[in-house]
Amino acid sequence: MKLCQGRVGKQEGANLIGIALVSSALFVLDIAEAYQYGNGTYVSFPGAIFLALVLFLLLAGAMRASGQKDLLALMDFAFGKFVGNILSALICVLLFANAHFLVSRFTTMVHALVFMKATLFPVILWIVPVVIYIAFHGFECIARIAKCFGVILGVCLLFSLLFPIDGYEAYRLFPLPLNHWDTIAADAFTGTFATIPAMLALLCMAQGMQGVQSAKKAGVIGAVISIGLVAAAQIAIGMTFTYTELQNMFVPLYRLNLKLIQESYFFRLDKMLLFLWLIGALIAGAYYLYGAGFVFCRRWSRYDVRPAVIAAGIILLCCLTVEHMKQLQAFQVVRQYGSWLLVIPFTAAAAVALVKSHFLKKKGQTDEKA
Amino acid sequence: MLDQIIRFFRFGRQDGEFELLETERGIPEFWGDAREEAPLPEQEDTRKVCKSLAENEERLRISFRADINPDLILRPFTLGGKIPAFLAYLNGMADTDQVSDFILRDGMRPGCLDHARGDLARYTMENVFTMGEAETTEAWADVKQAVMEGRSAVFIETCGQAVLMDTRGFEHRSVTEPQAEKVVHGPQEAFVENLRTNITLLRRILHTEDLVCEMRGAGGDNGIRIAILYREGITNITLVEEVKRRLAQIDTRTVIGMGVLEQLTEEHSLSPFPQVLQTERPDRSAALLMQGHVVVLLDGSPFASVMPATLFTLMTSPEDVYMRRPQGSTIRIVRYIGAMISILLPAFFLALALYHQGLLSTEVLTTVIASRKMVFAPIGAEMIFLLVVFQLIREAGMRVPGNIGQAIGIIGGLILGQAAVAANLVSSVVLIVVALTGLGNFCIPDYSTQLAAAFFRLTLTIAAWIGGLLGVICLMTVFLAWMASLKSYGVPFLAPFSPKAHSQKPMILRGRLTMHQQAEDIMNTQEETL
Amino acid sequence: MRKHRTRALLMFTLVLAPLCCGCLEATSLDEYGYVLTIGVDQGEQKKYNISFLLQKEGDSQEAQTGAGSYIVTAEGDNLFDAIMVAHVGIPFELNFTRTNFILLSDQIASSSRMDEFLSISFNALNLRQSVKLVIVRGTCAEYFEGLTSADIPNVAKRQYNLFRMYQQEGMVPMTNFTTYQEAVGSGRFDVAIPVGRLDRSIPTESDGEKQQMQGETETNDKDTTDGVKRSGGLRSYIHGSAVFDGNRLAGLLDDEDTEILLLAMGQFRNGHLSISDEEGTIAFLIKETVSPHVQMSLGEAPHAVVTLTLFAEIELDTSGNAEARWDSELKGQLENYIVMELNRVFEQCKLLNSDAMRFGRYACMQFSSVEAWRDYAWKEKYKNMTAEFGVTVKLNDRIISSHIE
Repeated sequence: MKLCQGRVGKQEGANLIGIALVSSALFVLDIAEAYQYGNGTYVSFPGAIFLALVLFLLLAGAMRASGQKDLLALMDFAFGKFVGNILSALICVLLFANAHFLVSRFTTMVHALVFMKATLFPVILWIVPVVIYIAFHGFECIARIAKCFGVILGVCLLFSLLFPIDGYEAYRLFPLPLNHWDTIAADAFTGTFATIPAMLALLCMAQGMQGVQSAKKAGVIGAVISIGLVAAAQIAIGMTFTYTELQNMFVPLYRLNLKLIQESYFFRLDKMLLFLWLIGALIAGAYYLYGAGFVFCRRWSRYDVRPAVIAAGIILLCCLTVEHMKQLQAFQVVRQYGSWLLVIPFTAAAAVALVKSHFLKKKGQTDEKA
Repeated sequence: MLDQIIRFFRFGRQDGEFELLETERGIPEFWGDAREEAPLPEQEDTRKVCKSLAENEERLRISFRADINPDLILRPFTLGGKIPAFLAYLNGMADTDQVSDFILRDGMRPGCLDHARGDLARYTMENVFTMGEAETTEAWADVKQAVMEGRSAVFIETCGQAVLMDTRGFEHRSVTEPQAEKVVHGPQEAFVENLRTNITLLRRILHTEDLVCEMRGAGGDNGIRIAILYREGITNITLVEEVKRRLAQIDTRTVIGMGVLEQLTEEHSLSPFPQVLQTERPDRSAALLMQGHVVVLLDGSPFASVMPATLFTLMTSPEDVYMRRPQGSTIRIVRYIGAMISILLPAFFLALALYHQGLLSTEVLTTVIASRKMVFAPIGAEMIFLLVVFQLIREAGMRVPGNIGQAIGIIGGLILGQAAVAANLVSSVVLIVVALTGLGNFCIPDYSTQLAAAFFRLTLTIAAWIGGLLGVICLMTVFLAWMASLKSYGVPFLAPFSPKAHSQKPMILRGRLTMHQQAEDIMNTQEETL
Repeated sequence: MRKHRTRALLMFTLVLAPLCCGCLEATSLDEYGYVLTIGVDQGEQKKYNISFLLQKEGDSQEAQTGAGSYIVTAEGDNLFDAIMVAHVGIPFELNFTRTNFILLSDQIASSSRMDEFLSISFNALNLRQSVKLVIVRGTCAEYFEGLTSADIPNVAKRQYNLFRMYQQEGMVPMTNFTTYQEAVGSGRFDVAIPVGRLDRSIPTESDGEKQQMQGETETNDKDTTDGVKRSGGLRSYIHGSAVFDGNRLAGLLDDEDTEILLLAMGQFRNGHLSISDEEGTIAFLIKETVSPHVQMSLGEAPHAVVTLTLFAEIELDTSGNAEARWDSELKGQLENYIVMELNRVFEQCKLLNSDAMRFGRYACMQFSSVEAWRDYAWKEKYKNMTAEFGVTVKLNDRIISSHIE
């Protein structure tokens, strides 16, 4: 490690990706519609992360083969500047949308489960400035604070799944949705709107990760751990509540202790766990917000990222206020079509870049021979 | 706009209107006069030593205000019985015995100039004066600096150079045991105010030829010297250059202590955490020098500044390395727990008491409610009041000398606390919380870090009062983000934990001493690249 | 300088934001009254008469004199109305974060009004959904009085210890609100809720004072604890369980039937069983350490084969030769007896249309889709269900308290 260099290591990157993916998968994807046909979320949620990982590896391979330093350069290499701008705008919007979804979810959770006597706006005004502050300090700060909390959050999540182990019953997972594999796959695909942006942002900031290889390794480790944790959490939820209860339940992860009869002081610490998850959401939200600002500035502004981050933060604050006053339809559109908008163009970008680099290499070899 | 607001609260006064109570013209009249403009600081003196003895003497008299300043001693004598010369030194700064024995006696010896040839100043330095440290110079600024430091200057008629000799012999404190960093095992020596003594203390521990000691001015108008120590060929060059660059940028009126120097060279002035480690222990400074750190010593300050400093450096006690591993690890864990308790306990308790009563057990709830039955103040105000009182007792105990200071701690802690509970000013549960907080605070080895912890504690308590656990968590995340973005001379403050650097030495537990063969990865020493 | 000023201004704005947002409604912990238990009875003027058992703190922290509990009751059409009425008479706000039990009178439970009462939003009151349910024979207010005494001011601990003791004895099931909701919502089983009763022959402390002052008492000397005379201790006790058909109280089981029910559910810990014959009386301590193994076959008349493995220890042997007679006589007797009891209780539950033995859990595991499970209509099929119980009892060695094959 060299002094005075603003670089982020693999451990920090892995922790950051882990926190972002776990937060998004467990809290953003968890909606009533996911349990309509029984409980298959222990397949579909990790599946969404897995699909994001596959796309991530494809893009990283394409970047390595074509010698591009980051995702933005890869898009230009594959499709040219114009289409690259459109895809950059897409990444920007989806990163911002993910920040919104996550922060909105946690704002609602904190308000509904802890501060139900107050209004929502004070809770928003506590959470959003922290997200802006962390994002303001840049990628180094976000990654380092993720490193500080990554293992702690993972361990706390595992403990929170272990404490209520007496209350787990396998019958609650049944009936298994064996006739609904297509729905599970569709859910996994749709869920990628929450998982792919985190991976793409890492590739956009690959130079800050000391190169594509380092970013790839960090992304793979973070994603694999996330898959394990999310699968474990959803299985635990499935063994605690039946699908009929889950259809009407808000944040089942918070309520895992409720089936237990034996009292213990640890069972009253669910609020503490909620606030620990809030730390994860703050870090993930800052990551998304910074990613959106970073992509915007790299593309269309030659100035510092920080003013863009502040502007995005204020827009986030306004969106949150508006959403909780009335439904913001635009974000529902993102939820519905975001996965298509991500998977198709970026898969195409990776494929085109691979083919192009292959032909360029061949041409280069031919020229050398000539 | 900000200027206007500030001016408004100053009742329209201009900068520089604040008056001294006494001026050189006596106590001002009731209506006061405007303060005289202070003389501008002298430009750097580029004059050279004159060949005329009289002129040199005149210059010295003017520079040192000899007409009103009796400290300057100008001793004329005849060198070798032939050539007029005079000796200049400051009374009290120079050792008069050395002056008499090795300068005047040797200089006045007849025949000492019989074989003189070439430059007279150089000849006398090499053949006449028997002082251990001597040099010649033609720069007038060097002569003034030397005299002010306590050295002696000999001027010789028709010679354009002066001979400077180290005759420093001013009174100074002898080496005693450390006041703030006491250990049970380990050396009992501490730095003193004398720069030369401090350098000697370090050289006694580090018998390495690559230890370099560069001297330069501190940058203040008071002309104090600093010494920059590092291991040439080991310490990262960028770090050394950065330290020198920051020290060179100092241009201020006074540098009188290491704290001033620290604040003038740090990058993050608003950070409650210090970005250098201040220590009064030579052994600690030497150990960090071996790791590739840079040590700065200031003449007149019994503290050394070690840079860079990370959080783990600040939380390490000098005694850790002298203890066995299990004991050392246990104490370090207790220290970190104490620090966490010190910072988080009051805020946590307040958040639970005001917003999250369900997290407390029924027994604790009833106990706290029973203890607060007749207390009039809200629990938040009570907590902040007690935290402030704790700081008052702490400050009072430090300022009052000797045994009375200890008594104040006992009086404040026990009697005042007990009386406050009996008078229903505070509740006993909150008093216990604050007492535990205080104990945890004293677990932190570094004084500046203790004060930083006090700052965090107070702000977190206020955040808990306003926002409960949400406020505590949000503010704690902000502080951690701040620490994550903080750098000390280019080294991240939370290294080697975050960012992860190669370190076989555990950060909280005490590592094996055999692991200390390698320098810390975060220092990026030159031996790594060899 | 300008950079520092901009940063300072930004920091100041970010710090100011939470301060400008208004209150998060802080209330100090000494401004609350902590409700330990809620009791719901039939109301006279309104639908419900709701009692709140509140913790009372001591006079000072040094001496816990004065600590204990007290009861506040109010009528209302729902819990919120009752709270509003209760607030009028007390100088603090009711806090439900420490509420561990909700007691419902058998009148409320048998008229299917539990759902109506429990359908309120617990979130709004910060009431934990793991709150335990108890059905009370009699009135809840009276039951509360029977729980409290001056010697143990911590009523919450007393209640919890009481239930834990009962559960360890294998005498009562424990059900909380979340489990009840699962039963009602998922339709896979029915709950069995412990029943609280009163022995009015035991005087309360206020009875004792009245007797001293006025020479009269409100005790009923003819009353007993499940047919057994007792003196001293608490007036309130737990006895047996109430089995439900969905959200309706279907019937009551006594403590022996409840033990058998718990055996079949797999929630039995340990309990006592006595066999008397011409040679003497032998008392066994029965332990269930392994969950029952259930094999279900579905159809119009589902059939379950239930295999239980139990461990027994001889606690009392007036005949003196129980161990010698174990393999030849006693083992078979005990096993047959338990099988007979299991069949009896199963038939009783079926009669009450209560799947208290929770066979529905095993039934649902055989379906591969939610639609198929829904179409099967388990509760309808349950009426035709048959069960075959097989019990193996292994004798533990008396000295080492474990079984060696």
